[in-house]
Amino acid sequence: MTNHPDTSAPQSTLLASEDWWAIWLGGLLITLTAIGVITGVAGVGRWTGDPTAAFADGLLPLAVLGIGFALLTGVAAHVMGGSLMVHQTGFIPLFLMAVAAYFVANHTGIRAAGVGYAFWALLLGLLISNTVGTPGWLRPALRSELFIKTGLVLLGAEILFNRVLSLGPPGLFVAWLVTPIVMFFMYRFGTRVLKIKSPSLVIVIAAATSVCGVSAAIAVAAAARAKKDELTLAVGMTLIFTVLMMVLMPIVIRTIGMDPIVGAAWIGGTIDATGAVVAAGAMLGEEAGQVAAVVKMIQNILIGIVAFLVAVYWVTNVEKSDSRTESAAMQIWTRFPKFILGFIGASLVFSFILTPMMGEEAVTGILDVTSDFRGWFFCLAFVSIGLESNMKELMGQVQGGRPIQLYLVGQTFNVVLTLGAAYLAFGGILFDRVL
Amino acid sequence: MTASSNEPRSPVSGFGLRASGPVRLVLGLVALGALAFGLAQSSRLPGALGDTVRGNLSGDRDATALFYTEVDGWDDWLARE
Repeated sequence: MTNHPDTSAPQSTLLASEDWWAIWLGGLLITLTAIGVITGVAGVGRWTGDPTAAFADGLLPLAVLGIGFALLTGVAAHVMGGSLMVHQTGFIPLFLMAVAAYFVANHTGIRAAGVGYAFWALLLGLLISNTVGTPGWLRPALRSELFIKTGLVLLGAEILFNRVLSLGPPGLFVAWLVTPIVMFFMYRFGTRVLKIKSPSLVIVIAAATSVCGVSAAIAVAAAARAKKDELTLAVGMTLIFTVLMMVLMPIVIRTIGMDPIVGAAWIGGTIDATGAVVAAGAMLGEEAGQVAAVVKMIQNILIGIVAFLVAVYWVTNVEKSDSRTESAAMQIWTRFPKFILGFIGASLVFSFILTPMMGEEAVTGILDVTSDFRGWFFCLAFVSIGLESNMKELMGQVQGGRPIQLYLVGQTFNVVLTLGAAYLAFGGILFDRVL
Repeated sequence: MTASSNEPRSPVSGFGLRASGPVRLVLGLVALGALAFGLAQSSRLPGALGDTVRGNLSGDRDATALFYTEVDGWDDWLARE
C-alpha cells in the first residue's frame, strides 16, 4: 500500500501509516483554519498576457507555503521511518513543479478551455520520469499516498450533507438515483463483459464517469487501493471527454429544442467535472446554469458515500483475507483504509456540528481556505504520480482499449438514463416545475 | 493506491529515433509549451469550442473546478434555491 517501506517502524500504528497521518495533517489544517490561526492560503493568481500577474502577491507567501508543506509532510515522513532532511531536499523541486502546473492552468484562456492543474501536473511528472528519469534524491519526497489522502480528508469538510438535503427532490432524484445505477452497471460490465483484469481500474473509471470526474476518481482510487497508473488512466479519459461534452452537450440541447431546464439537469447529471458543468449549463442561460450547477453539487456530495461503500466492499469482498488467526471484524478493520474515517468525520463535523454552531457564512469562509489546501495537496499528488509512472506500464493498462470501451459504454448509458430522469424530475412530470 | 515500478528508460523515442534523455525532455517541454500556447489561444477558434471558451471568458467562469466549492458563488446557489 505505501510507497516507502519503513526501516524503523514506530510503535504506534497511529503514527506508522500514511492513512493515519492524512487524518492528523488534514485535521490539523482544518482546526487551525477553524480557530482562525490560518486565514488564507498563498496561490498562483490568474493571468492573461502578463505572466508576472500570476505572482502579483509576491513570491514570499508561496515560499512560506512551500516551507510549511515541506515541514508538515517531512515530519510525517520522518516519524514513518524516513529522513526529514532527505524529504526536504526532494520536496522543494516537487513543490516548484506544482507551482508550474498551477501557473499554466491559471492562464485565463486555458481555464476557460477546461484544462486544469491535474492535467498539467500529471503531464509534467510523466515527461520528466519518461525522459531523463526521476532522480533518486527526489523519490523520498514523492508521497503521493499521503498527499492524496490528506487532500481527501480536507475534501470531506466540503461535503455538506445538511445543505444538500435542502436542495429539493428533483435534483436529488436525478443525481442520486442515476449515479448508483450507472456505477453498478459499469462495474458489472467492466468485470463480467469486458473482463478487465483489475476490478480497481473498473471501479475508478465507473466513479469518474458516474459521480464527478477527477475528484471521484481520486477518492475511489484511494478507497479501492488502485494502482497509480489506473488513476492516471481514469483521470486522462475523464479530462478529455469532459472538454468534449462541455462543448457538445449545449449544442445538442439547443439543436433539438430541448427545454433548457431539463437540458441543464441532463448536463448536471452527465458531464463529469463540476467546472465544465457550470460552463456548459451557463451556455443555456442563467437559470439553466444554476440548475446544472445544483444537480452537480448534489452529485458531488455522493462522493463521500461512494468512497465509504467502495472501501467497505473492497475489504469485505474484493480483497477478502483468508487469515484464520483474526476474527472477521478484525480483518475488516485491519484492511480498512483509515483515512476514510477522517474523510467522513470531517464531513459530519462540518455538516452537523460546525454549521449549526458557527453559521453557514463562517463555515463557507473556512472552506474557502481548506479547499485551497486541498487543491495544493492534489496538485502535489498528481506531480508525484507522474514522476512515479512509466509510460510502458501505463500503456499496459489500456488492455486493448477495454478501459476506453468501458468509459464510452458507461457514459452512453449515463447519458440516456440521466436524460430520462431529467425529463421526469424537471419536465413537470414527477414534480412541479422548478423554474 | 499501490505504486508501479519504474524501469530504466530506453533512449529510443516514440518515433524510433535515438535521442538522449535531456534532449527528449527539452523536446517534450517544447511540445507541452506549444499545447499550453494553443489552449491559451482557443478563444480565437471558430465554431463550438471557440464559442464555449469565449462564453467562459466573458462570464469569468472557471471550467476547471474539480468540486463545487471551487466555483465562484457556490454559496449563492444554495441561498437562491
